[in-house]
Amino acid sequence: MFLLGFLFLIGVWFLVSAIVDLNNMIFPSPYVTFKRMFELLGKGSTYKYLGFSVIRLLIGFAVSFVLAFLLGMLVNNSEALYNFFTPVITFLKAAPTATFVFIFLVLFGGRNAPAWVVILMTFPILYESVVSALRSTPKDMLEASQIDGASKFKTLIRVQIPLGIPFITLGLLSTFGMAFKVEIMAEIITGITKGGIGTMIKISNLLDGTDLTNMFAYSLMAIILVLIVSISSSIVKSKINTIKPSKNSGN
Amino acid sequence: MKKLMLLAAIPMVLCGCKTKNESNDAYKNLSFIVPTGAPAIAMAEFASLEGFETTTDPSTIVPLLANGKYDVAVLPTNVGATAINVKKVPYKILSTITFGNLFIGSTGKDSDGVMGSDDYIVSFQQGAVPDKIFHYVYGNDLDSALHYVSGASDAAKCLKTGKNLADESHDVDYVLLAEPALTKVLETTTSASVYANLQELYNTKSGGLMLTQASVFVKNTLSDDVVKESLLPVLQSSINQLIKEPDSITSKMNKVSDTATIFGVEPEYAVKTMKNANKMGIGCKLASEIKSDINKFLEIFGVSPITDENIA
Repeated sequence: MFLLGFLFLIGVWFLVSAIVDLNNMIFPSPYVTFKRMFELLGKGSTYKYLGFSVIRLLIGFAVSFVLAFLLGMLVNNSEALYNFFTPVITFLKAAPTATFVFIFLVLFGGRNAPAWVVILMTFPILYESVVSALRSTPKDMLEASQIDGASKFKTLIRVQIPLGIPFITLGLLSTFGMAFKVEIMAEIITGITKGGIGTMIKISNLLDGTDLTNMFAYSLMAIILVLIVSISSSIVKSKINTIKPSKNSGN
Repeated sequence: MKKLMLLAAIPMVLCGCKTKNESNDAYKNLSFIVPTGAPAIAMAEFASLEGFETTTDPSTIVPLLANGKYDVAVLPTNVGATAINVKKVPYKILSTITFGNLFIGSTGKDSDGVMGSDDYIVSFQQGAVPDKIFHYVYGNDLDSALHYVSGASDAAKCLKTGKNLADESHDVDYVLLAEPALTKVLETTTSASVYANLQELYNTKSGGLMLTQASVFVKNTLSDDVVKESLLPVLQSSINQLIKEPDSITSKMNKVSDTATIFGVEPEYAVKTMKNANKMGIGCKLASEIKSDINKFLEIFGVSPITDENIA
């Protein structure tokens, strides 16, 4: 079905590029876009820009996840702490991304601002996925752990976190694509040309706004990167799910 | 005795030479932030330096200056002067490096060939330099015909396609555009042509003043040795070379690997525009020498005039 969905997408894309008349503007077909993408991948500078984006994204995402994980563990056993942080999380979720781009531009400069934006924009989502993962532990498991004399911390480490890993992985998966989008958008807004893939999209528009081929090709690179990560993570997640029953059966 | 004095003088002379060389190279340690397009081309000599950065959006430069993040910044002169006067950013104006690259292009669709209030005119960056200069030259009579797009690249699209895609593909008669984007469009669009040169119109209306569009601003903590003995001579000689030998632009721009990305324009169009009567308006005049031109330009924007204290 995945392949069928992919073919459907490509089909619609072909159709749109054939039908849409954008007044002499070039709306590239999938063939033209893929061809341009491979041409761009033949240039060393493309990897430099991809590298800029990916490194900043990974740093921002990793920092965000660590913070979300630590805070999630902290509020796990305290309803008061959870309520205390709720307004902050709601604020971060509701705040417009562009506002933070401008704030971080001043605070950390154009090159670092996108990573900070990724941290701030993904943190509330990762935090919520960690909290709900930890809170989804079945009551009987928690009670069994307590009867066995485990402390709250030990229960968290030995029971709640291992059981929550699939949910947390799912949270990571769904947030990664969004993080990449935020990173690219922040690069476009900052406008610093030693940027990343977002910079290349902006420059493509600047150099020839009537030819969308380069923009499509760079966007395709970003999509493929997110797809690779999503598929890899899905495989990891299914492995986790298959390992778990065998562990249980061993006990 | 004379021999002794001579011997004593040699190290002093050598020391003097060394200090001079060090001073001349001091610009290499500076950090730069420059908008892409004509200003970046004017600053091409510095592009290969580690601290050189360009941005596609000049409006993001001022916030960066508030913390003194860069030693040297190129900004629209009015924006820089406002930042100094109002926001008190720690910078001084050194020299103007672009003297106007604004033109009105015709799509060839206007039947009477005269721009008027019954036409569809596209402009960009409402309230910014291009828009203010347009209004200074033409007044407010054409306001009902003006339609704004978000940036120069969108304006270029309008001239190329003859339509404003952001306004239900409305037919466009005239487009306000900056060089070198205009040259690029004209080369690929036979129906488009140059309708007016805003620099010339500005010059006529202001009684012979120069359009001091973009200037170099330097951090006020930089010493005169660095600014006037190192940065300025290199800047002046580089710009003079660009004007006298437009082909030298290619070699200067190609010192960096991603030329089109860093400069926002390909070298071939930069060279063509320079060869075409320096339509990017690149030059180098000390702010101290053209203070009255700068202040007249600032007056159009309602910005307080620069004083001697604001000049490096």
